[in-house]
Amino acid sequence: MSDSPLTTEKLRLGYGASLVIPELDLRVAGGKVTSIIGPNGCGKSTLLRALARLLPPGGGQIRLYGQALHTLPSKEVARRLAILPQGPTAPEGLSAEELVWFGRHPHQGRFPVRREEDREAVSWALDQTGMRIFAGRPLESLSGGQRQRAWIAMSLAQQTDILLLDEPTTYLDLSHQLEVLHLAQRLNREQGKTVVMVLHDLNQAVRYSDEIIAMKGGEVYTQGEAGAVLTPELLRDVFGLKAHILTDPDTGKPHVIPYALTR
Amino acid sequence: MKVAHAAAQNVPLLQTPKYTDRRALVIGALLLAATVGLGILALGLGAVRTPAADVVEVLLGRGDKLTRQLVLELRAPRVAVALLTGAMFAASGTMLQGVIRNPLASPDIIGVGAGAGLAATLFLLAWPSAPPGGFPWAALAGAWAGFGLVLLLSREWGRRSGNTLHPVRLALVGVAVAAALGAAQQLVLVRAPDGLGAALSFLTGTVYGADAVRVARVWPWALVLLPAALLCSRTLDVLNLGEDLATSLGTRVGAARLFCLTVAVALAGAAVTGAGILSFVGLLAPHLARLLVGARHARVLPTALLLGALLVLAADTLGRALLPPIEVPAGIFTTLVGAPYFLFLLRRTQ
Amino acid sequence: MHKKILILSAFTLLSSAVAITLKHERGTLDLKTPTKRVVALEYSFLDTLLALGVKPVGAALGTQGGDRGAPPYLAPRVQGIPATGSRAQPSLEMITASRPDLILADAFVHQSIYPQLAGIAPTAAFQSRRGSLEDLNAQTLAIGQLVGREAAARRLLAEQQALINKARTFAKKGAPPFVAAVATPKSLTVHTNESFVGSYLESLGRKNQLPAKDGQTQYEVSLEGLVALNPQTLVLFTAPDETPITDTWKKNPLWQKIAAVQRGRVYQLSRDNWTRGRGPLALRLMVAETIQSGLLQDAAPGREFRDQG
Repeated sequence: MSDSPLTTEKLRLGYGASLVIPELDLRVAGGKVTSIIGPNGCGKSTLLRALARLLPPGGGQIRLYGQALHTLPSKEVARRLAILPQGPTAPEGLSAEELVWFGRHPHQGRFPVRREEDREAVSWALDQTGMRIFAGRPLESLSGGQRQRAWIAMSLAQQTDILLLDEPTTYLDLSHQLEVLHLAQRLNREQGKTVVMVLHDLNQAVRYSDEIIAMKGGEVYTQGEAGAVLTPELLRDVFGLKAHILTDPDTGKPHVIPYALTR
Repeated sequence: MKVAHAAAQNVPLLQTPKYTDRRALVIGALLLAATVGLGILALGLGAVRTPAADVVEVLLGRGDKLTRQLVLELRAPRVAVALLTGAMFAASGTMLQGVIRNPLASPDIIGVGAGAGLAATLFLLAWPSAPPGGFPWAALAGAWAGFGLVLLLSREWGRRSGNTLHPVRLALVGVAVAAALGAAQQLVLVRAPDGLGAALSFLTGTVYGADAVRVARVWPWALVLLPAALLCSRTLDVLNLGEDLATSLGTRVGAARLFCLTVAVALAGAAVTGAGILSFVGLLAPHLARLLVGARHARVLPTALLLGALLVLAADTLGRALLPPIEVPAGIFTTLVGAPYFLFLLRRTQ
Repeated sequence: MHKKILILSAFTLLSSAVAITLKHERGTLDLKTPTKRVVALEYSFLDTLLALGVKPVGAALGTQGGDRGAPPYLAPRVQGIPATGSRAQPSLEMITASRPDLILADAFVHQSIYPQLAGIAPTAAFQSRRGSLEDLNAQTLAIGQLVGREAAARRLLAEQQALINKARTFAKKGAPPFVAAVATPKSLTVHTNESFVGSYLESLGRKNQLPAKDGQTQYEVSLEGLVALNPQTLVLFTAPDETPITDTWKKNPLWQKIAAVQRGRVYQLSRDNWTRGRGPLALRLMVAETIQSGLLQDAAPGREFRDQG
């Protein structure tokens, strides 16, 4: 794990006076899909936002390829790491393609000259997300799933090695959820991107990730290979659930069916 | 556009984009033509009748002395100041709405208008025999002070991220400071002697009395600040996506916001020295521009500039031509149009 | 050639004999020769010009922004004078079109457009709105010089002084001090002994009860405030086309507690004559009113000067 692109040391995070994460040491597996799971308020979104320098740390260090994140120019970070925050909003009237062009912002200079490589990146992002046919449509006329794909396309146009997705499946119906997760997985398999997501659905997390980080009360409860992490103890300790754990006939990974609360 | 062509070959687009560069160019050309047309019309309208033929004579460098005086010394500077201040208020409002991400934002909301009003009132009271040129400078200083106060109060002190500027906080503080400064001005006015109200009519927003000196006062600001505003287009687009996304795209949000706000306030402050506070121009023009050309600032800003210039020129021309020889301040017309729209926006926002 | 220069210098000599240099609030004004082509931007200037027998080529007779047009006593005399907009925002175009050789402006109200006015014609700025009786008398003389009627101006001032002296003989010695106030439909503003109206009444021989307060020569009071002042004599300036706020106050029992009310010494004088004209013509009417009403004599007001309600 020495090739970890994103690490934290004694990271301390909070909002104002309220402390969310007291001290956290973490290494994100490079070239893999990692999902962060945990109950509401455990600090998983806080962590993801901090990893993308959207939230300044109250102490400790975050390193991007070994360099202290907060010392790097913001634009340089944006060429290596993209994040799609929860519930992004765009001004009215913007077309999907115009949105995707924003992804080129970190690569452009003071004057917005559209170079060939920018066009290629936008075109590629539209293709990857299947958004080409909707390129000219205003965002507000798209379905929830299409819109989410447009946002992911924008992040893809940044052409970063690392992609962070904060609850990318929220508010989407099941088929759109799978669409987004398949896309994340494919980007990892085909492009070798490091993907880190915050997910709520445990079974989706297991199925579409290589690694799982389970958080509880601002601390990492466990981190490990997706197939191995999900145990009855974890479900009990982290989520307060009693569950049957079956084996997914397709993947051989565990599948959780909760049936009772422990509290 | 190459991408779009490629797409057309593979799969037909389900819908062509509503807002295109071509559409923006056509609209811009139409607005420009309307502005030029109205500008020429405005040179011929006023309390004193001047036949079109005489105006043309003057423009060709001939004509009698009185008509030359009317057209070149009285009307031309008014047209110029109306165009410049209209464009500047519009640009200021567009930038503020982009930065604060608040459709209700306008130069008035961040303390610029109220600060200018209070400073001008105090200046006149403290120094009634001040040289005529000093008054607008007091207004300009007040505009900056009002903005500084809002900025100071809306910054989050004590946090490690020293320079965060929360849009909603800024808007709220702006409204509160504007109300407080406005009340202070009322308090001063209640105790003020007769005639002060008349001397302050400038503040209602009027192009009345604009001369070559005033044009010269506003022009250099416009020359520097309007291009600066246009250069901010892409930054504004990115800021418009919100703090998280803007940061994620590599923008230093605090610095970018501060820079854009500075340009916006300078625009509004300089415009105040030209025509007082022309209410609602900064609110109205960006909204109309967005309806016409979409959300991208590279299109919105130039369109809003033209709309603002056109709006103020129309208001001033109407004010001169409606009830001659009485002068109806341009600010009254912009308020007449702007206030109902503001209420409509308020209802829609709720 | 030699001859020509001689003629020229003779001409210069002639004109310099009548050239006028006048210091005013915004600087110094040079007129090569007195002029009758004058634009008056305040009612007091209009009053003065008409009293001097000069019909201005333009005047701020507009009815906008709080202006109600020329006061009624001037109305018959201003017919035929072109209106150049309101006092607050005179129409620069109309002023230009009336081709004046001189503009008379208020030093305070018109200060922001002084350069523009001066660009149209030589402009003299006087303290009219904020002027005292002395200021206004000095202005009468100055305007007389500018229009070439200095002698007439001096005559006006002398007549005025004679009138004041005559009025003083009417004034009852030892009469209690008065409170003078302008009553509009919305407010009552008392005028102290440093205001124009308040000082003028004192010059006629009656004592003003109120000194200036915190540097304010006039200020608003409520009914309670007025009762607290408890004037022995109350002079109200009202306009015939308005219902003054005191009409409402009269229905309040507090009103009856005022000494002036109990003594029957509440006078109603014309606001139009007293606060809007401020020129020689207005001053004549003002003196007449103080005598006819019985104010100077401390006599009960005549029917015309009593409350009509």
